Amino acid sequence: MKLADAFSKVITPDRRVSFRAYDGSTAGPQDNDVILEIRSPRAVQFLAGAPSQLGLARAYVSGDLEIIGDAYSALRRLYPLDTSHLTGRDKLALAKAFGPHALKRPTPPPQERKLSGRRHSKVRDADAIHHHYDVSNRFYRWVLGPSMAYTCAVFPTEDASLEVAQEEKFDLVCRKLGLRPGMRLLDVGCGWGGMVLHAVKNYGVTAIGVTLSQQQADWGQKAIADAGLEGQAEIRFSDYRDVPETHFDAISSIGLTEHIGRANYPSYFSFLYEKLRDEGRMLNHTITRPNNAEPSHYRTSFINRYVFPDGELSGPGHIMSAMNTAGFEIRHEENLREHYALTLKHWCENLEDHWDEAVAEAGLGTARVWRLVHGGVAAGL
Amino acid sequence: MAASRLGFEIDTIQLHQTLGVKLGPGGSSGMPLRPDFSTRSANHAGV
Repeated sequence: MKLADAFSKVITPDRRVSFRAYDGSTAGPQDNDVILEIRSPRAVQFLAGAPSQLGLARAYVSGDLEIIGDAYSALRRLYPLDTSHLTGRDKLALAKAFGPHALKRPTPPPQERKLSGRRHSKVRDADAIHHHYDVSNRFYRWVLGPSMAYTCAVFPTEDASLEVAQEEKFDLVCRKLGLRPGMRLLDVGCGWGGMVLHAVKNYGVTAIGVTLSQQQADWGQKAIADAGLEGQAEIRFSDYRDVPETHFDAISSIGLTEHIGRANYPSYFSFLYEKLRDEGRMLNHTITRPNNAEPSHYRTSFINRYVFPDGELSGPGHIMSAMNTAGFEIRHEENLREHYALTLKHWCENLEDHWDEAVAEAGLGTARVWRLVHGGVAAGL
Repeated sequence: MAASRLGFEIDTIQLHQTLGVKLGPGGSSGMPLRPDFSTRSANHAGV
């Protein structure tokens, strides 16, 4: 059996994904806009060794599997991957054809990552954040664009620019927090300082942002100095647990909860609660799973190994319960799921527009990790 | 990022904003009776 025969058994022609392999076999039109190409036996070994998103990721990151055409279109057409139409005889034929050959276990690509130490200790958290966010500011600048915000934007209209949408997101958070001149804002997990700068410039507050990434802190401090806002705005390279100030009027947490770990939600939300004055508000912005039924963490997932070590997600109900239990009265809740899909569409386009520079900066393997997934997500794929 | 985009579209992942208040003595929230977060507020200075 040739590789294309195996492919055709699993992926039917109505998916509009063509195929070719190093053994010379092909399936579907070879001028198609989406073609999967198996370039070496190692791709088959990766897929057989971890028949899931992880095996696919290893084969793609190592370059043994190529997607010719748009990666998103390929995934969209291949989802959901359904093998229920395969008969027992089909499966036996596949195992016979590729079983012995595929038993070899190649070394995973070097971009794959395992952390050591106790999960969510300060040292291991710092290591995880360093791995995820310290690619280089130049790399992020190409992917994220001038707004330098690595969190879901809010699109007033479908055709709004990413820059308009990121500003709308920060403004929405300011409005939900009821910011007014003279108030004091704490932004935990502040990234490159986008929220701090927006709130100080537009709402007349004083703001402190904290991040565990030195590169983000350096970038944010410089942006504050360039804007002449020293004294009103400050970005600290610090764990949020080490902020000594208290009695804040408002706290924003945008894209931090993903790193906290479900077991630490009580201490995390209690800490933020204690940092507020009476009638102070806290806005928690986070990626979640769609419900509470799934595990918070997939140890062997692509996302944990490649992009987001120790990242943990839970359902929206769980987040709300944990906030509630820490003392917060819940006042408002909204799901911005479609906005993150749009945000990612823009980041994907930015990466393709700067592909050569991104590869030169971060290396081909890392750039391919970014093309296929990004932080905090791809759960369940 | 391609897989993540698909994940949000097919609802394997979501993005939630949750607003909480630390109540004052006697249950005071400091919230307006009908908060409106949809439009930029009057005190917004513009960019």
